[in-house]
Amino acid sequence: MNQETQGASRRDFMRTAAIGTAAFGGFTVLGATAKGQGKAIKVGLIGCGGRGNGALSANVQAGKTLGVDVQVAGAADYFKDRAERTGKKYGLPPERCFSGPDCYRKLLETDVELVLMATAPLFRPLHLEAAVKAGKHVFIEKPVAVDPPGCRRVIAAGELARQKGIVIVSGTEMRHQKPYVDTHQSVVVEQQLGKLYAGRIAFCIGHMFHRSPIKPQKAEDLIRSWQNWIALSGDHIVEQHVHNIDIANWFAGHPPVSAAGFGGRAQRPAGDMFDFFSIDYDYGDGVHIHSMCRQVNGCWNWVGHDFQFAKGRTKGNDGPPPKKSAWPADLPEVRGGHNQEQVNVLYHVLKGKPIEQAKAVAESSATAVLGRVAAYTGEQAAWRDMMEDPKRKPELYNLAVKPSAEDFETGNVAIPEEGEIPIPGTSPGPRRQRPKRKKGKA
Amino acid sequence: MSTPRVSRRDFMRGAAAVGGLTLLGATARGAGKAIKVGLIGCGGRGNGALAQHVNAAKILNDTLSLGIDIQVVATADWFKGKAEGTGKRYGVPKDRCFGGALAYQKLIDAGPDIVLMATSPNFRPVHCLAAAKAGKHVFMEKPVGVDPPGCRTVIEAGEVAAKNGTFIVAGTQRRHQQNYLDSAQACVVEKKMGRLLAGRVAWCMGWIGWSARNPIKPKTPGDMVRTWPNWVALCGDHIVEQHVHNLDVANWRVGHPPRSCAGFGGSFHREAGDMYDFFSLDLDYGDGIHIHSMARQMNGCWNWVGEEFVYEKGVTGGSSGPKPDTSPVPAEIPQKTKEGRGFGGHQQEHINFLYHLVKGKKVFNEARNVAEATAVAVMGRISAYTGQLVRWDDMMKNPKKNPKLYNLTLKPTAKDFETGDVELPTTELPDRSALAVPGKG
Repeated sequence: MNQETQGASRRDFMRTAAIGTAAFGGFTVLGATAKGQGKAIKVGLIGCGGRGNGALSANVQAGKTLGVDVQVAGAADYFKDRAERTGKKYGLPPERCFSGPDCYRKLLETDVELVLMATAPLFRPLHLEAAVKAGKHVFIEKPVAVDPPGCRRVIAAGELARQKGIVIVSGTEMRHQKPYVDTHQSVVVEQQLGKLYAGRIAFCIGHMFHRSPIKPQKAEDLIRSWQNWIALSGDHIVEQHVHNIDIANWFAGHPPVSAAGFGGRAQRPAGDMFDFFSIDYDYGDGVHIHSMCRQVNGCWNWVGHDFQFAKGRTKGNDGPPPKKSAWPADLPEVRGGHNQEQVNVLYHVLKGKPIEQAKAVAESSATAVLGRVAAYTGEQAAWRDMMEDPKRKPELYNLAVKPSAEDFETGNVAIPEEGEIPIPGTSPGPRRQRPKRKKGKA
Repeated sequence: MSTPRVSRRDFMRGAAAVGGLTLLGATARGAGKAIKVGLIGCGGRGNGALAQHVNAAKILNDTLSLGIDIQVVATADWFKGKAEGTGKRYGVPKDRCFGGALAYQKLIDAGPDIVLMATSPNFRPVHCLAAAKAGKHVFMEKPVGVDPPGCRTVIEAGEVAAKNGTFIVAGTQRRHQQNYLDSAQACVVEKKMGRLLAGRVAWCMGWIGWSARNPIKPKTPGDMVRTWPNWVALCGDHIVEQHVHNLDVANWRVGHPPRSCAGFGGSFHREAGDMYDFFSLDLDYGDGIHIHSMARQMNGCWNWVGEEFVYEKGVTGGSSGPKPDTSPVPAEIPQKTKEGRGFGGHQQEHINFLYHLVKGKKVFNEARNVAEATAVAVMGRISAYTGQLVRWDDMMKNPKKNPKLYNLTLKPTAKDFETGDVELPTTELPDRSALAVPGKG
C-alpha cells in the first residue's frame, strides 16, 4: 500500500478532503479511515486513446470529489505522439511518457501507485498480470480479454491481487452505479422479487467504427483500428455487449452453463468482425437469457436488460429499495458510470479496502467469448469446456487469437484477412467443388 | 359415442349436431360413409398426406368400425404428370387428374367432400378460400401463406368455413398429438404449472435435402414450382416453412400471437435460391413474456427441435409436463399402432380429422391458429430481413399504421401463376445480392 507517501500531513489531507467533498454535504468522505494516509496518489495511464484519456480525466475529477490529489505520473501508449499528448495535458516530462509495445512495462517501473488500463482488450491480461506483480492498484477497462486463456490469466491476476491486498476495479460501469447496486441488493441478495426465471439483454445500436476497408499493412495499423478486429477487440459482443452480459451474470449469480448462438455480418465494411449476434445463454435450472447485440444502422435499437423474476421484472436499476444498502455510507454518488467507477477505485485505494473485480469482469468477458464461439461455430459451447476443464475440449479451452499480445512485442504480427469472417457450421458436402473455409475461427 | 358400430342414421344424426348441416353433404347420401377426397399438390407431402388419409379411415374402421369408405376422386398438381402419377395409384381416371395453375379449381369443381392441400405455401390462401367457399372440408398442410395478406385470406377462409360448418384441419401436427394436447391441457387450461413466464422454441437442424446444391436459374414458372423450398416467395423461407410448427405451439401456450418481434438472421451455406439459413427472434408476447425462437438449417451445428416453457412451478417441453386431470382427447380415438407405437403427427391428424367428421361431435376449424402461426413466422422473417421491430397489429390488424407492411405481398403471387405473368428472379445465391440485408450501409 505505497500510496501512504509523499509526506503530506494528515491535516493537509483532511483539509483538502473537506473542500473536495463539500459538494455532497460537506462531510469528509475518507474520514477516519484515511488516518495517516497521504493526500496524493500517483496515477499512470496505459492506453492513451479516447477511453484512456476519458478515464484519466474522470479519475482526476474523482480525486477532487474525494479530496485526494491525483498526480498523473506516467502515460503509456503504443504510439509516442499519443502518450506525449496525454502527458502534455498533465504536465508530464517526456521521460514519463512511454511508447512502443513494451510501454506498459516502462510505466510499471515508475512510482505510479494506480494504473488505469485502456488499451485494446487483447493486451489487458498481459498488462494486468504485470501490474499486479509490480504491486500496482488497477482500474481495468472492459472487456479484459478476447479469448479463454486471456480470461483465465485475468482471473489468476485477480487472485494474486487479492493475496497482495491490491485494488482492482473494472470498467463494467453499471456495477458501480447506485441504482444497479441497490437493485442487485434488493432483488438478488434480499430476493425481494423471488426467483429469477428468464431474461433478455441487449446492446443493439447503429454502425460503429470504420466505414471503409482498413487494408492494414503493419502491426500499428491494427492497433489504430483495433475496434474492427476480432483479435484485438474480441468482436463487438465482447467489446461492447460485455456490459449487459456482466449484469446478466451478476443477476444470475454466476456465469452460464452454455451458449448456443447465431450471428453474422450484414453491413460492416471493414475488419473481420460480425455485426450482429443473438445468443441463448443457458444459466442452468431452466433459466435462459437471450442476449442480442448489433451494430447496424437503420435497425431496431435497444440497450438494456429485462429480467423476469417471480414477482415482477426489473431492468437491473429499477428494483425495490433494498432493506440494507450495499452502498458504503461514505461513498459519494456521482453522475455517470465512467465517473463513478473512478470514484470507486480511488475510494477503495484510499480507504485501504482491497476490492477485486478482476474475476467478475473476466467471467463476463469469457461469457461474451463463449457466445462468440457459439455464433462463429454454430455449436453449443459449454462454460466448463472453455474455462474449467482443459481436457474435454482442448481446442476450445486453449483457443487463442492471433496475433497475440506478445506477438506485438516480438514484432511477429500476422495481419488478419480483412472481410474474412468466421463461417458457422459446415458446407453441405462435396457434391460441388467449393473453396475450403476454416471453420470456427477465433 | 363409444359404440363400435355406427348406423347410417347415427352417422347422420352426429353430422347434424354441428349446426344442422350435413357434414358430408349431398355426396354422402346413399353412399353410406363414402367420402370423396381430392388432393391438390401431388409432391412428397401430398402423397404422404393422401396415403395417411386413406390409412386413417382404415385405422378408424378397424378400431371403431366406422365403415368409412375413402374414394379418391381427383388429383391436381401444377404438373399434370404428377397429378396422373398419384391418380394412377388410386384409380383416378386421367380426366380427373388436373394439371396447370387452375388445376385446384377444376379439382374443387370435380365434387370432392374433402380437399387435401399440399402445394407450396404461397398457393394455400387462394386454394383454401376457394375450397371453403365451395363448401368443401379442407385438410391443408402448414404453413398456409407467405405474406401478411395471404395469412389474412386464410383467416377469412376460416370464417367462411365456420359459417358453412365445414372443417379446416391444418398440418400443424403438434395440435393433433396426444402428448402435446395433454401438456397444453394441463398447463394452459388447468394451469397446473402456474403462470407462464418465458420460453424458447427451435427448429435447428442440418442442411435439408431439398435445398438446391447448384443455382436453379429458373426459366419458367414451372422451374419455380419444382424448386419451391428454395424461394422466399414460394415457401416463405425456412422459418415459415418449417419453424411454423414450434411457433404454433408458442402461440398455443400463450393463448395469442405475439405483440411484436425483433429478429436476426442470415445465410451462410445456401447455394441456390434466395433464402436465409438461420433466424433468431425475440418474440414479445406482452405481460413480460418473451419467447426466443431459433431456426437453422446448417450442417455441423448445435441442433434442437422443440419447445420449452418456463412456468412459475417449473419448466416443461411442449409435449411433456404434468398429466391433465381431464384429457381433451376422446379416449376412443386410436393413438397407437397394434405394436404400441404412436402413429406420429402426420397420421394422427388425419385420424382426428376423419373421426370428428364422421362422428360429427365437433367441427375442426384450425384456419385461424395456423394462419396466425404462419403470420408470426412471417413477422419474424420480416424483422430479420429488415432489422426492424415488427408489430403484430401493424402487420395484421391495422391497414393504416404501416400500409407497406400490412400489404406486403411477395412476388410472384399465386395469382401471377394463374395469369402466367410470373416475374422470375434475376439473381440467386451464391450471388449474395439475392438476399435481404437488414439495416443500412
